[in-house]
Order: sequence, then C-alpha cells, then structure tokens
Amino acid sequence: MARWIRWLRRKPNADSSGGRNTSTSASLRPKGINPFMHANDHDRPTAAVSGDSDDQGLAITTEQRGQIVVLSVAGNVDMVTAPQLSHTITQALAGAPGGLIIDLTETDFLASAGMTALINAHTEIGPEGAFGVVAQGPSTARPLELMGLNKVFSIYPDVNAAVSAMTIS
Amino acid sequence: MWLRSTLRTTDGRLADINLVVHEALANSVEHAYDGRVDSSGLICITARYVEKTRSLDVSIRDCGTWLHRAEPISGRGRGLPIIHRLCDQPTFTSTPAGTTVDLHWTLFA
Repeated sequence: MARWIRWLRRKPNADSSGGRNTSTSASLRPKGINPFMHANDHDRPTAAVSGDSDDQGLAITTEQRGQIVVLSVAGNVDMVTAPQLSHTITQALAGAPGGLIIDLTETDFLASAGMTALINAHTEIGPEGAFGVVAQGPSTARPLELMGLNKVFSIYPDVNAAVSAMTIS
Repeated sequence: MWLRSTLRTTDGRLADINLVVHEALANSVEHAYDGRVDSSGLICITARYVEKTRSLDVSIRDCGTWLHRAEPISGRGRGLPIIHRLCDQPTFTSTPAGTTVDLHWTLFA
C-alpha cells in the first residue's frame, strides 16, 4: 500500500510552475494483492537480518543487548509487511528475553497494521518483560503519540536511551 | 514530491496525509475487495488542492460492497480511528455501486 502512496507522491509535478490549483487522479487496479492471507508469510526465512528492503519486505536486524533483544526495522511497516514484523517478534520472544525493543529509527512509514503489531508485542511479552519502542519524527513517533500509544508503552528517542531505561527498571 | 512541493506545509501534516490516505486505501482493499488473492478491483484516487483556501481534498472511490465484518482481519481495526483522528473532515458514502471516502484538510501555514 505504501507503494501506492509513494506512487501518488511521485506523480509528475505537471504544474510545477506553481499553479494555484493542482490536482492529480489515478485509477489503480490492485491485481493479486492480498496483504492478509499469505499462508507463507510465516515461512519466510528470518535470520539476523530478515527479508530485504524492497517494496515488499522489511529488513529487520536482531541485536542482543544484555538481556534485551533489539529488533531494528527498516522499510515500510504496513498491512503487507506487518506479518513479517509480528513473526520476527514472536521468534524473538520465544527466547524469553528480559526485554524487547522495537527500533523504528530506520522505518520510513508506520501504518495501523504496524501499530497493532507493536501493541500485540507489548501484550505478548507480558508483565514479566520490559517493552519499549524507539521512534522519532513525523512518520513514526508522531502517529504513535497522536493515537495515544505512548500511554500504552514507552517510546524512546534512541536505542541507547531505551536500553538504559529498561535495564534500570 | 507532489505533496511537499505543492502543499508547503509541515512534515508532520504531510505524514498525517500520507498515513490517512494509506489507511483509506487499506480500508478499500479490506472491506470492498475482501483482501482476496485473486481480487482485481478498481480504486480511484482524486486529489485537489486549492491554494487560495489552502484546502486539500482527497477522494478514494472503490466499486465494491462495504463489508461489515464480525471479526476484523488480523492486524487491522485501527484504520478508521486514524482517519478520524488525523483528518479534519472525513466522510464515508456507501452505495450499492461502491464506497467513497472523502478526506479534507485545511492547511495552515
């Protein structure tokens, strides 16, 4: 989906001379997209770096910081890619880490499906584990805060701040 | 970027518009076309910006029937709250021929 938006944003600036009224219209025929029911989503290989950062996938890097697992997510987190994030989160939680940090520093776009993945991760880790999200800027921190998710879990400006705060507590 | 060069508003507002339009498209895919693997549906997007009033209107029209799901598709359910929270004036019009989501923003400098 974010591809569509980028496509829309890329539309030729036909009126770049500074026209007063600018409009663009497009007909999209989403052929064969099924963001939800890819049975194979959960079979995607996930290693230290999973997927790639093309339009379809996220690049997720896993790092261990003491008892805390840090998942750094690069790309667009939308309804197409959120299952990949959820799958990686589930794998990380299988190791019963003391804490989980989702680092969205390199995330270009965060849609509602991505927010749901974060909420589910927070729920999954339960009261025993610490959970934090690293986000800054208009594409990630802003929508999280506007939707009130900063009241659900802690949002930190960078990974070091998150690790420090979660290690102390 | 068409939005950035045309609208000359804050990065935050641009991000809001990007997200809301995305969520409206996602709704069309989810509700109108049922997220089917083999679905082939038409979605039309029209965007119009009037400099004089600094108003942006984005219209997203699909040709599907609005489905009221008992259970939302996994991972969804926050799309509409996002649209209502980050858009000044969203309206949803559903007819047997399809659903139109009209999004409106007034952009203050």
